[in-house]
Amino acid sequence: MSVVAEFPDALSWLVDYLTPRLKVNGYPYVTVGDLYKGDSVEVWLQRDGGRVLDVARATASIRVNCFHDDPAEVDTLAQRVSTLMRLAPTENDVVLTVQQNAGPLFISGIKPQRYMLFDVTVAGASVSLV
Amino acid sequence: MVIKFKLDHAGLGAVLKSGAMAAAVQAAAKSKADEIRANCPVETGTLQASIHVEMTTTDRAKAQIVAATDYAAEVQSKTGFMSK
Repeated sequence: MSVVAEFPDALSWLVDYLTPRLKVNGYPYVTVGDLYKGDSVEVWLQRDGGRVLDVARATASIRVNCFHDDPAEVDTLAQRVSTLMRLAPTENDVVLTVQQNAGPLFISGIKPQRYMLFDVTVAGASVSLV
Repeated sequence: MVIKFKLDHAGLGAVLKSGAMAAAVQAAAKSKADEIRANCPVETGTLQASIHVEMTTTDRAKAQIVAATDYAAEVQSKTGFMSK
C-alpha cells in the first residue's frame, strides 16, 4: 500500500468557494462557473494550467472574468472577487496561497467586464492506494 | 561543527545585474515568447506578430513579454494565450 497526496480540482473548488460567499456579500443573483453563460451578474473562472510543486503542493493559474450589466457595479464586483480570492488561504486547509498577478483590468466588450489572473497553490490530501 | 555564512549582498547584486544574467533571462523570455506566439489565436496575425521581449534592469535583469496591440487584453481575457 502506498500513501500519496492527491490534488483537488482547484477550478471547481474555487467555484464552490466563491459562489456562496458572493451571494451573501452583495451579489445574491451572481452566477459563478467555468462556462460563460451571459447572465447579468457573472464570474467566469478558467484554468490556464499549473504544475505539481512537490509531493504535497500544486499550483494552478486561474483566469477570472467578472461581468455586470451595470457599468457602475462591475469594478465593485471585481474587487469583491479579488478580496475573497485573497482571503481563501485563511478560511480552509485546501488553498495555501493566492497571488494576484494581473487586474482588475478593463476589457472592452458587449458587457461591462473586468479581468484578473491569479496563481493559486493547493494542498494535496493523502490517499492510500493498493 | 558550526559554519559561518555571510551573504555578499553587493556581489549578488552585481551578479543579478550582470550581462551574463541578462542574457540568461533574455534567452528564457525569448523561449517563452516563442511558445506564446505558437499558441496565440490568429485572425490577421497582427497580435501574434506584436509579441516581443522587452529587457529592463532594476535591482536585477528583468524581461517582460509584451503583446503590443490594444486588443491583446481582450483576447487574453477570453483565451488565456499569454498565461497558458
